[in-house]
Amino acid sequence: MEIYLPANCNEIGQRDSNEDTIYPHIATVKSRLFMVCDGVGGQAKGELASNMVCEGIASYLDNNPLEGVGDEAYWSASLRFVENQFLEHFKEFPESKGMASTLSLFHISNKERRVLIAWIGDSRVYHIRDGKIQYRTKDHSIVEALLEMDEITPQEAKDHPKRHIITRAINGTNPSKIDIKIIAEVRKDDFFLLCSDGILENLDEEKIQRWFTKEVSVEDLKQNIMTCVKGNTKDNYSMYIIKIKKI
Amino acid sequence: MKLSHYQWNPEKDLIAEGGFAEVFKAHDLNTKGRYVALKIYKEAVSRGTQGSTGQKKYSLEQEFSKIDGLSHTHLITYYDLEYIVHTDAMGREASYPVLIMEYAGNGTLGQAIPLGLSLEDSKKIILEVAQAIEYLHKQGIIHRDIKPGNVLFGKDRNGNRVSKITDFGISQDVLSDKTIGQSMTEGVGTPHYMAPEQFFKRNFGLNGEISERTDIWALGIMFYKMLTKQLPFGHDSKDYELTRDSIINDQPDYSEVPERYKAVLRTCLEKKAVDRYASVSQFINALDEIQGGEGTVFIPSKQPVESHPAIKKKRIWPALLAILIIVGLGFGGYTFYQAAKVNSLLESGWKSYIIGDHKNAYDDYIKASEYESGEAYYFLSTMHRYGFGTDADFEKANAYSNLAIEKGYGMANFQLGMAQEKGWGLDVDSAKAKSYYKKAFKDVKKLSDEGNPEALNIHGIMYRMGTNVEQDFERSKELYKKAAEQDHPAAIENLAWISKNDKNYEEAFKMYEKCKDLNRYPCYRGLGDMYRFGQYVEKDSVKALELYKVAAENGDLTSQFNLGVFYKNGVFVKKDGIKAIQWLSKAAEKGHLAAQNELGILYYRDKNYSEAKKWFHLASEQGNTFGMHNMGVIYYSGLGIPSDIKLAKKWFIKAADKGYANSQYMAGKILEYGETGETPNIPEAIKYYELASEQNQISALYNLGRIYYDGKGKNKDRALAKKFFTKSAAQDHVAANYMLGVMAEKGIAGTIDYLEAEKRYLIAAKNGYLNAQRNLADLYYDRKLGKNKEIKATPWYVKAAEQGDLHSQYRAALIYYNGQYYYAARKWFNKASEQEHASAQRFLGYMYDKGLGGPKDLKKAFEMYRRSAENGDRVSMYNLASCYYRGDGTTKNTFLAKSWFQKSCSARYQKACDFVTSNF
Repeated sequence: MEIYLPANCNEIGQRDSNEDTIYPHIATVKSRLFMVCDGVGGQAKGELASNMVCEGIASYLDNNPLEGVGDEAYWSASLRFVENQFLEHFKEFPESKGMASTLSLFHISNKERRVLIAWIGDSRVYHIRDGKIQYRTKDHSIVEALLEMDEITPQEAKDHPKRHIITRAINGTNPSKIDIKIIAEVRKDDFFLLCSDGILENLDEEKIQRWFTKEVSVEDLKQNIMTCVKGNTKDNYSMYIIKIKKI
Repeated sequence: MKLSHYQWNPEKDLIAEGGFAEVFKAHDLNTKGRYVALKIYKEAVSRGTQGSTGQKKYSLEQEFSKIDGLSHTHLITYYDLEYIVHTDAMGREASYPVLIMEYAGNGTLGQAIPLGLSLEDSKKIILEVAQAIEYLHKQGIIHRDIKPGNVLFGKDRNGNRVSKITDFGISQDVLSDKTIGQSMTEGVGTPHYMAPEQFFKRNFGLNGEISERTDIWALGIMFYKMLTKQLPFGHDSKDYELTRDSIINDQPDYSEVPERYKAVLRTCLEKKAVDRYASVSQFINALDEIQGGEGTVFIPSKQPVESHPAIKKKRIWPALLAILIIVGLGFGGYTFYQAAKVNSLLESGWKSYIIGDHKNAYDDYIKASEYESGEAYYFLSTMHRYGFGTDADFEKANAYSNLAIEKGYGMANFQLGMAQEKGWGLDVDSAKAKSYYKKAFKDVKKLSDEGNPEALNIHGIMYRMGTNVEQDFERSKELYKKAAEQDHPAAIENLAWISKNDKNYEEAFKMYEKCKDLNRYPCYRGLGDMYRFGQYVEKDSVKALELYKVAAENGDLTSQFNLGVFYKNGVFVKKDGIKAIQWLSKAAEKGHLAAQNELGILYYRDKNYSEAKKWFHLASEQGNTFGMHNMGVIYYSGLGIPSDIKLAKKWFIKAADKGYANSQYMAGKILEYGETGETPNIPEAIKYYELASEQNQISALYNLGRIYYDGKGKNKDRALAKKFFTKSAAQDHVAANYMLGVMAEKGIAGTIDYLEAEKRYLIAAKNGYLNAQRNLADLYYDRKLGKNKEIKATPWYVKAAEQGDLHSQYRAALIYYNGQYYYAARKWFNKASEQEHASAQRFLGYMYDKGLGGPKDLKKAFEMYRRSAENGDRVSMYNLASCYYRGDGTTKNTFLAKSWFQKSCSARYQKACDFVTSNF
């Protein structure tokens, strides 16, 4: 599988610190692992949390090479590895306790024609084919659960007072659970968008469907999204846009 | 630190710390040796009531006022709310709220559980906590956060440990909007004690809301934890989602829970709030019923067995008989003789019973009962329950069940369970019913395993209903089949019923035929139903009626009730009030609640209110919701009795709490307007409206709409109001249609839409709704629907005018006047003038003045101008002045003329000013 040179952003927004981390920092057409993590936990600890998740998973992958896209056990093990690093860190810096991070992850296999999506919390991954959303991750959040149970309407979800409360995160102290989605049918010109909630505040699915047409380039998309997000979001905002060049 | 007369050391006296507040132990300097607890909030509020933190302060004080003064042995008492004021380097003041409350210094339940609690202690503590919660609920407060950490221990005067609930009444949301921006991972904690509806209230909540039953769930979790040291859901998990999913989806493992507490916990931990105990009182009762150890001794219910001389006599007889026989045979011989005799009687009774020879069966069982046979008592109960071979009589039936239990025939508990569940001679009480079912289960299972047909049938029923076992229709059917193989008529009937429900009509018909041949009268009804609805057989109402009659005449209450309703409503038969009363009375007298209520309605229609009230009362006393509502109606409207809104309210609330929407609406209405003479209770009214509107009760929907529209007791929310109005209007609520018209016309919660307004007004106007008629006419008159529709205004103005609407009278008159229909114009100006409409008076004066629509009359003209002028009409002032000036209809008076010209001029009528300038 080949990809176009991916586009990304990792912006501070109107906050004092940037608690989002993206991986890799600089991508090439050879990159196969992408992550966007959104940290929480004040006093620069959120930054640290998201950073530790990105670095931790990347290093686990380096040291435990994968043949295919991997399975649940593999990615759960990578999560345990990260959580252990959190615990190690807390031993030295107990004041860091309470920091946490979300994770959205996209992994392309060199051997298989499949890709893998994994996530914790409310950072999302979209799979888009010519303006149609094929798949999106389900947030681990209060609002998503309410939607799923038909407790509230999508309209109500938009300004729900608890829309920012996530129900799962990586924090080391409470072992978390990673959700996995393997996408077996990937086509040329398919897009994968990884993003933190700061992006989603201003990018609704209608826009995604309008903009992510097959002929458009990732750079143009990035420009579109940046124009619409810039100045309008208080939160940090980060994303990765990956476009498939060849299967 | 010191606050008022409390002193503490922040370093040493910290007792607890949470996300929102810290709790300190403090000396009360006024009373030596007395301590209080201070809960100091971390969030500052401003001192006034302005701005967002001012709002918080206001909300906090509101909440405090609700809990201020609450007092219960097992509640921490809140003494006061104070503020600590800090001034920062910039000189800004911040006040931190401090709750001053009772100090309980002997740890928490959370600390006690891991050390192990005895069963007695567990029960004592949970009962104490439950009593406190029961008290809170009666004050209208739901705790929402019951957990071991919130149960503190104090000591009473004798040094005994006393539980005390804390952290109630002040919701965390009041002070912290921090949570909202925060992730769950930051201190919000894991939700092990939260009830399903606290996550998904619409799916699990009582009427989609948090209710008292939310606390009952938490009581259940806490009790489970006390008994097992484990949490029933998410025990090993610190993960919010996993715990939540477990709470929503999993069944707790009850294997470690002592047998006697299982049923209680199951009821507390029903996922849907509606299935839990209805109140903490019920939970307490259920616990109270549980005595001692595993082999619980059955405590006879309060049934007045002794007051039944017939039964008592039977109990003396065997004793005498026994003495006589013992004398003759010696003890061992007698026992043998007795057993053989009883067995043969029971056998013969059963043989008669299954072929429907109830007379002989009853006789045999009576004889067997003289030897105090539990089984005989059991069947006598059944026969009295259904009126087989004897009179149907619930009280006797229940008394026999008690006798059977006394003699160790445990299956009779099932009969009492049914009686308790259905209200057959006992109050409806599902919790008690459950405990009876539980007691019955062991014997039912044992006898059923032995192949006893009656037990097989009961066992089948238990699987069918899921009482004490997991509901299992297949298993139930199997058991019925086994019983039916032994010709058990009830089992055959049950199988027939199942087949009918499965739409296997052929099988159902066969089964009903079979049990009909066994003279089982409910099966006549079953067959009747099949003829009535044309299932398997051709529809044949004559045949159906015939079958119903046989069943009814043989004491089948449901058939009696059905026949009564048929005659009442003229279904299948000619309407016949007398026959309706006859059949309904039969069923009603035997305690058929719906029949009692229907009978009440019949009398009510006949305006025989005292008789109606009698039946409604009877039905309602035994838990019939409609009966309660109808009692409310009678008292409310004062039919046949003096109106008594307080009593009406009581009955409406009873029915409302049982979920009857019309009663909920009435309760809401009485509360909203304080119709009892008490102060209106808007929040409570809204609660009832909301309950009723869940069931789409048309008037409640409208009233809720109005409440949101006006912002009465709720924040103004016009969009929400529109939703409610729309729902109500969909059921043709006139005023709701009118309100939607207003909203469309003014563009409230939507765009201006005159066509929609016209449509809505028209519906309401056609139903005679005055405001709608007027607004509709205005809509036409103001040409909002185009010039050519202006003409449509007149008839609606006239209609509204006829209802006395002043504006419409004037407008109608004006339209007639402009069309030169002076007679009609004069009529309506006249009407409007009577209501002191100044312009109408001016027009009328002018018409008298000029002789339009009637003879000229200057006196009357003068009189009208005068009234109009006094009502402030400046033209009339001028006209009146002219009258004085010229002496038209009055004596000439230049002085008054001048004064009125001047008044008119000051009211900026230019003509008057000109006249003054040139003539005075």
